[in-house]
Amino acid sequence: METSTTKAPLPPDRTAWWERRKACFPEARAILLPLLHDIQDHRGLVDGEAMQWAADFVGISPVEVYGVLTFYWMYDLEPRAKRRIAVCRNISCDLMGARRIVEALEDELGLECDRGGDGDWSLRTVECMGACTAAPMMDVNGRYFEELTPEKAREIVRAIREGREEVPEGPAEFAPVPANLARSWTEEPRKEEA
Amino acid sequence: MSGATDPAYAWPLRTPHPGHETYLFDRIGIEGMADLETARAHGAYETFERVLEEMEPSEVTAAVKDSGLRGRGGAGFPCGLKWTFMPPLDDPRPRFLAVNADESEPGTCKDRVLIRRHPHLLLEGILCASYAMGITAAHIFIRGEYVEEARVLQRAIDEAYAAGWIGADIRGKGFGVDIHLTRGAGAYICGEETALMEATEGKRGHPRPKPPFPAAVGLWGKPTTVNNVETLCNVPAILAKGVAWYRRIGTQASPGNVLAGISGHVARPGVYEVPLGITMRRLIEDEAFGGGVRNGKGLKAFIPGGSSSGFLPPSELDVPLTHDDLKEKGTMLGTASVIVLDEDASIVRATRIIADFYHDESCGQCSQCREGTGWLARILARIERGAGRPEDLDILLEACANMKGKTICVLSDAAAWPVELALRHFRGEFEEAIDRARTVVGVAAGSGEGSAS
Repeated sequence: METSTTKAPLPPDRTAWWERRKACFPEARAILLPLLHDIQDHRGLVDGEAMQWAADFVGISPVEVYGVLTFYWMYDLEPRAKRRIAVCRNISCDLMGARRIVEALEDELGLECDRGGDGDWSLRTVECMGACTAAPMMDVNGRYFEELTPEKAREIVRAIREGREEVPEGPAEFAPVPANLARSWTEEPRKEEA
Repeated sequence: MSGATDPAYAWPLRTPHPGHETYLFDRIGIEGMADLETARAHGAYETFERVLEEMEPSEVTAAVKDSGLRGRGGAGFPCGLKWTFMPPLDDPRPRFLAVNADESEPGTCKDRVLIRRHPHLLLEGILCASYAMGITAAHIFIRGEYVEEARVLQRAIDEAYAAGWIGADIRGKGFGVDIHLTRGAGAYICGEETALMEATEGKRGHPRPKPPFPAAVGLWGKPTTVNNVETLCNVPAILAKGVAWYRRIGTQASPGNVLAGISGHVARPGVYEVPLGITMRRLIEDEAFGGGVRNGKGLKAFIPGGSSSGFLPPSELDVPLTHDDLKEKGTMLGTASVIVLDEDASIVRATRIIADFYHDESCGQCSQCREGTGWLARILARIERGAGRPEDLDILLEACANMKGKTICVLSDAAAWPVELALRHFRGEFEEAIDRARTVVGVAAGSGEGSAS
């Protein structure tokens, strides 16, 4: 993970890769959303220091990075729980009993939904995750569990607790590392077209 | 991560699609179609290779235009016509294809199936479109929640690069294009085409005013076409089997098959490939598709095309699934995502949930939307809670009227439509909820609920 010799929030090889990835786009900041995902996956959050680093890295001001971080729900500016459950509360899932899933999880975890977490677990409701035909659903650290029943949801929590079911932790398995790093535009740096 | 069950895909894979031809889902049941080797064994990139050898770019555009293919992302704009808005091929500027994989309309999970089970079909569609329009680079923007789908798609892109299907001078034919994948981070509005471009550029997903349209000023200020995943997946079949074949499927004004997702209170929820023009009744009731309302219940309402298309009563079940027929009913085909509500469901609650969603997802640029969505959500919440007031329904309709056609993008309109349709077809249920509230002592208006403003 983070070494003491660098302020970069990512391991050196990762930083070097992002350095090359920047050149694939007409503007460096195009990598911002995936870059912030990567930082968050490594550090558990995007804190002020990382925000400043990311801003310098893509050549924009920190407040613009902050604007992006607060616009999208998937970024955490505060330390987050180790296992994060998000239950869809939208129409298809609600019709299929999402409320009962939330109640079962609150009971199983001893947590109140949408009231933060205990460091180990957090529980929240979210808008549509795109699993409507397999409702109700929940997402744990980026992995979907679908066609839930209250009992099934409880069992998944127990299974994760006991290591019988795996969910992604730390740096995402999704390596945003395309094999090809072509600079895919051929023009001089863009002229502003008012 | 492997070994996760795939319930969303179980139904369509088990369905034999009786009585009609399929070309989007025809190969998704094959194990390993996300791998290039398997996909190639089943014909992936053969159409593109033939197009490179035998067709001029203008012929590709003409075929797509003549096919009558309309966008599958919600608006239903003619795809080929959109392509012709791009500058001529001798224009030296770089130009981009923005691929909308930000599928976020509640009820919609069709692109997810295509990406996960057959990503090379999408890539082939992108390649054909890129050849037709002389695209420099295609930028796919996928919603952040689709972690697994992004992994599958990136792997497919990498494999296709390694095999020379993407990149410079493909198959030595002098045409080259790059394909990049960008993951979003959770915001419904990024599915709006100009917000999608902002997000692809690494910004907040704030829609841009139009004009200028993307074909003139798009990604990084360059000419850009924005196409939905399913739309592009139609392209290889059109080019392989011909315009005449394609136009025999569906209807005159809405040709082709569409991926219809059926969710809610049906016996067999799932994503089904059906010809446009199929009736809602058949889609919901047929044993091959929805299988009817589950548990033998009656039908109260259905949503025809994703949350913003609003509610229709059972008396409208015979409406054909086409752009124009649904428009006539005051709704839209949208993403063809049907949501079914049984007789026990509460329209008040369902409307409130949808209003909450748009309030949550309003980007905040336009006051009509930023404030209006909040008004709708708060008033509907108090009606649901049993604190509704007699004047609330009129306030809702007035708010809706003030939200439509006044903003940079149509999120504001999309928030107003379902409320209006709910009140048009199910007003009695709202009045009942308010009347109930009036009879309960101490829950009269003004008892600490505050005003809607």
